[in-house]
Amino acid sequence: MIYGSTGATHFDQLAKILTGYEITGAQSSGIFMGILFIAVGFLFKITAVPFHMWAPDIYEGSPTPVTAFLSIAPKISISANISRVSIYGSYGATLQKIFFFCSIASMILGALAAMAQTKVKRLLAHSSIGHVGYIRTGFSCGTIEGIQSLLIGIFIYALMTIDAFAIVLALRQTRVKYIADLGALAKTNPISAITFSITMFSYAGIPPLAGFCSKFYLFFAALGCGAYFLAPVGVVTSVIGRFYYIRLAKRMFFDTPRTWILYEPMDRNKSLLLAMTSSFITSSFLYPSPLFSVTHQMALSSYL
Amino acid sequence: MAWSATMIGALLGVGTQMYSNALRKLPYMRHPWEHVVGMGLGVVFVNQLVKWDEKLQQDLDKMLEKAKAANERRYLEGDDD
Repeated sequence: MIYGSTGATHFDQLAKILTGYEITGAQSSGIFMGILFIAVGFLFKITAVPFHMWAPDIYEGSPTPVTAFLSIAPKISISANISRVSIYGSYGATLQKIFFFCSIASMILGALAAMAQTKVKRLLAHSSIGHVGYIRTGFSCGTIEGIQSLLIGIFIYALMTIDAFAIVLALRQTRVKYIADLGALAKTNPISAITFSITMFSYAGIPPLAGFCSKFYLFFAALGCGAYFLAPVGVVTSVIGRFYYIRLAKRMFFDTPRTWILYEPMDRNKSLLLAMTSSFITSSFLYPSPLFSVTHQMALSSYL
Repeated sequence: MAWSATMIGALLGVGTQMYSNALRKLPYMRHPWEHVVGMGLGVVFVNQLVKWDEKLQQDLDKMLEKAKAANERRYLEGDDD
């Protein structure tokens, strides 16, 4: 539709035609609908609200390695794709409004819907919907700090999700499906329980873990671009979200298990992966400079 | 700086290997040669990370200088480019 209305497919030409098209005389419903459809397509893939309906059922029904892949890879690829299309092509009021709305809705729904979940994978699915909202905040800003915070958020989210799903994968062998099944974990395998708790606390944004760093930067980027409503919504939904993350830790450490499940020891590959990702999550605050520098460079190169 | 990076890398590597053993409910020092490999990899990783960070800082400073010069040319000197 955009090609039909403009005759251009090259990003540079599109940028010249589409930037500020709402205020010039070049208004066209074809352009508006084209931008809308592209945005909706991208938002479907990254499970942003209101296009998130498929995510919990697919995440729960798929094999855990597939779920892990679905949680991570589309977020990275679509974020890169949409940054390229939008920043080069058509970042204007239309797209910004759509992304602001989707960020706020994803954050709110991710925080509230996850509270009612009883299954581990569905809870992680709703958690990822919430995190997509936080990450979209960075993109919605449309500034270099926003893109930098998006890249930092994506990187830290990917590592946290690898960590979470590696543990779920290790536990699935012993048929752990419900949150209540985690009750015996702290008694039978305390190090796994501590690792899972650290990952959940990082998701919750508790300092000094990596998740706090990514949320901090995202909200400051939002404040820097003038999104004074977005940042407080993000903070409030983070606080609400801590309920179900800390509930998992409470289940593991303090609750009496519903059934005593004998957890099988995990294999070396998963344990090494968990050890490396947990080390990053717990110690990245000591030396965050490389991550900040490389993301700053990547954000600048997309604008310069 | 190199010494501290080496020490931190070695600690990180051996700590990661011990953590991996703990996750598998094995004694921390099971297969001690793996801890030596971990130390070596940790040392290499942290030293390379520090070098990469220094290079990144230099590249970033160059990019920012270029951007500043381009902006000054565009807005102060009235260049239409």
